[in-house]
Parts: sequence; structure tokens; C-alpha cells
Amino acid sequence: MSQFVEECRREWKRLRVPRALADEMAEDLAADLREAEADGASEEEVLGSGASDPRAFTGGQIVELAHLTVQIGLNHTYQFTARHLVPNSHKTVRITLPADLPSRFKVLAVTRPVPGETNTQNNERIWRVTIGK
Amino acid sequence: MAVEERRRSQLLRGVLDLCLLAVMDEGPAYGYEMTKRLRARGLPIVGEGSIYPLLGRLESAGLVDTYRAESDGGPPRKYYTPSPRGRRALAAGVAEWRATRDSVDAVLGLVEAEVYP
Repeated sequence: MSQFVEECRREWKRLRVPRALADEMAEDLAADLREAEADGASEEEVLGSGASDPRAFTGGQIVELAHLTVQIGLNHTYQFTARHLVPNSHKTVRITLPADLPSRFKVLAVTRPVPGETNTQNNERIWRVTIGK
Repeated sequence: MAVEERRRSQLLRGVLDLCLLAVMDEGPAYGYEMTKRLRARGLPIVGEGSIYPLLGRLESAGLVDTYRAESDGGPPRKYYTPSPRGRRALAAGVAEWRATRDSVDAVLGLVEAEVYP
């Protein structure tokens, strides 16, 4: 079981999940798997159909837990990239803003990637976040 | 996957978020604890997708609040509890489920079925 968690941790790292978040998810997963094992429950009961595939399991999580960081500069429109984010309209994009952002600023718009705005070298998609007062 | 299994999976997929909100509404719970509560009510999720992406989606949608705390004699865990918005979503979802269930029952309830093992 710990091997599965370690593979997930490596995969989260590859997917550029912030280390603190990846560590937290790995700890939670390991604790759940240990408890399930003690209960005599199967891995599948905890991991669902992704029990045998760390990549599928972590990929599914990243889609839901996408964290994006916006760098604040002089302009009010910021561009950043996000890997492995499924740009479906029903997905919620969580934007982590710097703590020192003046409270009068807020996110005005998030623009989904459009065709042609993909960095073909690393398959990153370009999103735009408009921040204003 | 057999037809019966596929149907069960599809039915469950549509209401699993409500089931998770319902079991965490009984008291804050971490991931595996919710799995146990579902199992105790006869709803094992073996063969279904993991609940973790679903919990992430509920969190992203602002339907749950989370915090980390020590579990009973164990390591710190991430606890989930419905947010006020999540409780409203649960109430609306339950009403919707009951209405749907009654409508389907009105049709399927008339069928005299014999189930073979």
C-alpha cells in the first residue's frame, strides 16, 4: 500500500502539485489505506476503480484540485499556465491569490484557454485572469 | 461489466455526492470514515470511482468546509463537513431524489417482476 502512495506522491510532483498539498494528500491517503487494511477492507473500497493505477487515480484528483497561482504585476490582466486542467465549463478553477493582494482587488474574469493558445512544448494551456477593483 | 453492474454504477454516480453530504452531515468525517458510513448503510462503493475526486469537487464548489484534526489515536486527518451552502444543496438534492424515485416507482412499481439469483 505504501508503494501506491509513493507512486501517487511522485505523480503529484510530476503534475506540479504544490509540495505541501501533495504531502497532505499523500498523508491522508496513507492513513485511509492503513485504516482500511486494519479493517480488512479492500484497496478498491478506498481507491475505487483506480486501485491499480496511480496515474489514473492522481490524474482524477488533479482535475478536481487544480490550484493556480497568479503573479501580481503592474497590469491588471495576468496570464498563467495550468497543466492537466480540463477546461470544461463545469469544472471549478480555484485561483490562489497572494496574501498581500490589496483587499480592494478581486478576480473579475477567468478566461479559458482558446485553440492556439497552448504551449506545444510542454502542453501547457494558457489561461488569463483579470484582476481589478 | 454486466448490465446490472453498469446500471447500478450509473444510478449511484448521480447521487453519490448527495450521499457523501448526507453522511458528513451526521458529523465531520474524513475520507475513509465516509466510506465506512456508506458501507454501514449497505452502500459499498467497491468498483465505483474513488470518493476523493468527488470530495475535491464538493470543496471546490464551496459545498463543504474542511479542517485538519487528530483522528482517534491516529494521525491528523482532513475532516469534511457540509457548508451552509452544502446543506441547502443536500436538502434540494434529497427533495429532487425523492420526487424522481416516486416517479420511477409509479412506473416500475406496477411491474410484477421475478428476480432470479
